[in-house]
Amino acid sequence: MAEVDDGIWDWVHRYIWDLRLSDDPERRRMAEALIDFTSAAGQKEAAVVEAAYPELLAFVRGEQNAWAEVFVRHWRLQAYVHTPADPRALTVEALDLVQFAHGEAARDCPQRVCAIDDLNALYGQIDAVGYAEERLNLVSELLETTPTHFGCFMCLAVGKRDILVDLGRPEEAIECWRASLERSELLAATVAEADHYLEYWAWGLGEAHLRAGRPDEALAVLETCQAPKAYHRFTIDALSAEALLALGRRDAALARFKTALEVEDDALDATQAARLIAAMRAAGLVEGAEARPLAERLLDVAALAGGRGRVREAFDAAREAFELAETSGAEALMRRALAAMAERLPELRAPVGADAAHAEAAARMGG
Amino acid sequence: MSEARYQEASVDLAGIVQMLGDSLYSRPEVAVRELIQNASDAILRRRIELGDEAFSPAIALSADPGAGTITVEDNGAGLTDAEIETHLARIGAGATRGLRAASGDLGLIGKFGLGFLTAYMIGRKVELFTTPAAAPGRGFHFVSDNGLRYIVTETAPGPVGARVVVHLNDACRRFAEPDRLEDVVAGYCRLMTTPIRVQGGPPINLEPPWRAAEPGEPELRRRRRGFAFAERLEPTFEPLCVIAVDAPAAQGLLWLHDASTYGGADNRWLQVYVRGMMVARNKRELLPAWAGFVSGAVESAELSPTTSREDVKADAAFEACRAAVQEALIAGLRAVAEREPETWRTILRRHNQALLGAAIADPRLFEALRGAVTAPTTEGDLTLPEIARRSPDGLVLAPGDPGAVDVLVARALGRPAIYAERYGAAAMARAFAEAEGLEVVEIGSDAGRRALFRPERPSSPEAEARLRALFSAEDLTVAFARFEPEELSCVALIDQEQALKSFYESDEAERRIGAGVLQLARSLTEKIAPEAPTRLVLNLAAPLIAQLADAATPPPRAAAAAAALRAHARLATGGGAVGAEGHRGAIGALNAALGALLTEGEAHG
Repeated sequence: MAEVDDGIWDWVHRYIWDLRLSDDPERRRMAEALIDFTSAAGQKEAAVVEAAYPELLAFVRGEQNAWAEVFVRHWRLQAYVHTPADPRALTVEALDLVQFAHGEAARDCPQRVCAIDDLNALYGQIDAVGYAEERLNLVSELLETTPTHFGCFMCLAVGKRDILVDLGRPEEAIECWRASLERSELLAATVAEADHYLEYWAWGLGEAHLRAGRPDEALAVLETCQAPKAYHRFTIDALSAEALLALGRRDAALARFKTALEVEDDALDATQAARLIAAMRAAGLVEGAEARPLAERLLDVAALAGGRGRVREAFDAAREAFELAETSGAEALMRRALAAMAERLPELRAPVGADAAHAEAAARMGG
Repeated sequence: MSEARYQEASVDLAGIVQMLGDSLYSRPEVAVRELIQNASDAILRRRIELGDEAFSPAIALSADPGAGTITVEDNGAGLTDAEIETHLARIGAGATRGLRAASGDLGLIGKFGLGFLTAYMIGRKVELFTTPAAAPGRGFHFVSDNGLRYIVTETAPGPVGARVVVHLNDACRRFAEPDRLEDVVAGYCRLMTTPIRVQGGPPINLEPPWRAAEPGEPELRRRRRGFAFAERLEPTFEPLCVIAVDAPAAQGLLWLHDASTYGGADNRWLQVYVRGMMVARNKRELLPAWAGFVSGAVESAELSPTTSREDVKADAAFEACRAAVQEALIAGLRAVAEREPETWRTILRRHNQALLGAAIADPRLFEALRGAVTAPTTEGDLTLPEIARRSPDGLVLAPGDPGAVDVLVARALGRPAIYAERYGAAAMARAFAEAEGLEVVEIGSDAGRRALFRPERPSSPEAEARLRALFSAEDLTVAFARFEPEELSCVALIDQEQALKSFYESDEAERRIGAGVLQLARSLTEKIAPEAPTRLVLNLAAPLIAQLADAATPPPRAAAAAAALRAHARLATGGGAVGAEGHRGAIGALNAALGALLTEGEAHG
C-alpha cells in the first residue's frame, strides 16, 4: 500500500509541530488551540469555534502567516457549512476569503481549494437548485485540478454527487460517486478515511438511489449513515421514510415520517420536509385533520428558513404548505402560503419551476 | 486418509512475559505494584477465607543494592504447596480470581492472574518463602528463573505469610536502590489501607481526606487536611484552594493551582485510584476541558481498570465519575465565591482568562462569574457590569485587526472596547449581552457600523444637496448618519461588498481566479448596485457639518474645509479609502485644502 502524502495537511502538521516545540508557551498553547478549533469545527460546534476564532485569527495575522490565515478562516466556515445556519452572513466572508486565498501572500496555499468549496456549499444553502449549474461548473473544474490523494478530492466528489441529485440527474450522480471512489488515492490507502466518507456522507448517495427509483438500495445505504446532529437524523429519517413508502411499506413509512418530524424546526431541511410530506400526502397518509397543523408548521418553517437566507427551502416549504392547506380547505392558510411563495420568488437565483408553481397556485386560488 | 487428532496448543511463557513487558505494561516498575497487590490480596484472603480478624496486617519491602534484590513480605494467608501449584505455577489462575468468583467483589484488587508473572519482567530469578495460615506448622520454598520450571521444597515454617525475593535482572537493578523503591511504592500504593513499610521505615501510607473526614469536624481542619494532601500529591503547583468530591460514583479532592495560567492552557492533572491503588497517573479527561488550572485525585470502586491496571475503561462508571467530578468542581467554585472572598479574589487574579472560558462552557458558572470576571478593554481590564455601565448603547467589541477608523471611533466614543481576539473575551461578552438584553457592536463589521453610524437624512433636500455638492468625489459615495462623538465630522468607510464587487468584476480576478468560481461569485456581486467602494459618512450631529448644511450660501472657505475633512477621513481609514493616488495623494489633498484655507483667510484680512 503506497504511503499517502496528503499534501493538503502536511504543512499544517509541520506548522503545529513547530508551534508545539516552541520555547514560547503562548505558541505552544496556540498549537493545542488550533487542534481543538479544527476538531470543534469538524463537529459543527459553532459556539466553541467562535470562542477561539478571534484569538487564532489575530495570532496567525500577527505572524503574517497567510497560509495559516486561510486555514483558520476556512475551518471557521466549516463550522457552518452543511448545517442549518444562515448562509448569507457568511457568503461575504467566504468571497473575501477566496479573494485572499488567490492573493500574492497566500500563493499556492493548498487550502485554497477548501475556501472555494466553502463558497460552493454556502451558495447551495441559499438556493441549491437555483445555483446548481454554476456550482456544478465550479466543482467539476476543481475536481480536474485537485490531486486525487487530497482529502478534499472526496469533499468535492461528494459535492458534485449532491449537485447532480439537485439537478435531477441521480444516475449520473451515482456514477460520478463510484468513479471518484475509484480515483481517490486517499481512500485506497486509508481505510479509516474511507469509512469516514462512506458513513458520514452516504446519505447523499442514499438520496441518489431513491431518486433513481431504487428505494431498496437507498435504504441499505441510509442504514449505514452516522447521525451526530439532529439535522443529520432528520435527513436520514426523511429519506428513509420516502424509501419505505416507495417500497410499499406504508406502516413503516408512517412511523419513520413521524420520527422525522419530531425534530425542532430549526433542524429541518425545509426542502426535504416538503418533499417528504408531499409524498406522504400523495399516498393518502396525510389528510383531513392532520393536514392543517402540518401546513401551519410548514409556514413557520418557511419563515424560519427565509429569515436565515435559505430561500429555496423557504419557497419549497411554502409551496407544500399551500397544497396541504388546499387539502384541508383552509383558504386563509392558502393565501398566507401563496404570499410566502411570492415573497421568495425574486430572491431565488433561478426559478427552476418556482414561477410556474406560484402561477398555478395563484390560479387555483383565483378559481 | 489420516484421522483428525486433537492437539494441545503450547504456550511460550518467555514470549508471554516479554509481551507483558513490551505491550501490556508501560513500565517495569508495575511489577513492584503487582507484588504489593498480591500481598494486599493475600491479607484479605487471610481475613475472608480463614476468618482471621485478629492479626495486624502489614506489608514490608526492602531493597538490597549489593545483592541486587527486592523483597516483598506480607503476613497474609500465604500458600500451601497445593496452592503454589494451583495458583502460582498455573498461569492465569490467580487465587484472587477464584475467591472473587466465590465471594463477590470484596475489595480484592487482582483479577487476571497475571500479577506474579510480572516479577519475571524485572527478575532473573524469583523466590517465594511462605508459611500458610491454613497450615502454620509447614513452610515452603518456591524458586524459578523463568516461571516455566520451578522447584518447591518444604522448609522449616516461619511467620505466617509470604516473602517474595526478586533477584533483579541487569536492566532493572535500579529498583534495588531504596530511595527509588520507596518512590515507586509510594506513587502507586500510598492510599492503600494496609500499612506498607519500606526499609523498615514508617508506613508510607497516606490517609486521603475523603476517608479521614469526620462528621461535624471544623471546616478549617478539613481544609488543612486537604491542603496537606494536595501538597503531597501535586507534582507542579501549590494548591490555592481545595474542593471535595463526595458522590456515589467517586470520592476525592480537587485543588486549584496557585499560579497564573494563560487562557486555554491545559494543566489538568488527576490521579485515579481504585481500592487504594493508583491506576491512572493523569486521567485529565475526567476534568472538564475548561479546568486547565485544576488538579486532583479521585477514588472509585466502580471504575474498571484495564488489564494492565494502568488506566481505566471508558464505560458508564467512567462517565458517572466524570459527571461527579464536574459537579463537585462547579459547586465548589460557587461555594468559594460565596464563602471565601479573599481566596476568590486570588482565583480571579490568577485564572481570570481560564474562567472566561469556563463561564462560557457551563451556565451555572456563567451565573457565578458574570459579575466577577474581567475582560480586556481599551480602558484596561474591567468587569462586564462595569463595561456595560460605561457602554449604555451596547458592548463594543474590537477585533484583533481593526481598521484604523474603527479604532479611532472606538477611542473617540469614550467607551471601552473589548479586545475580541483575547481568549474567551468575545464569547463571554456576547453571552453577557444576551443575558442582560444589551446590544453588541462589533466595530469593523457591517452590522457594527450600522449600529455605530445610524443612518439619517439631512433636515431638508436643500441641506442634503449642499452637503453633497461640497463633499462628493468621483471615488466616494456620500452618506449621512448621526453618531458619537459629535466632534468627529465624518468618517470614510470601506464598503466590503462594494470592494468585493470591484474585485470580482475586474480583470485581475479573471487572471487569478478560475472560471467556475468567478461565475458563482459574480452571480452574487451582480446583484449589488454599483457604488464607489468608499463611503464618506457625514455626521449630522457634528457642529461643522451642521454649519455647512444650514448655510443657504456656502461660507467663503466651505469648499476648502470640506476638502480638508474629506482628506483627513481618507487618511484616518487608510487602505483603499485613500484613493487612486494613494497616501501621498491624500496627504497632498489635505495640504492643498489647508493651504486654500490660509490663502482665503489672508484674502479676507
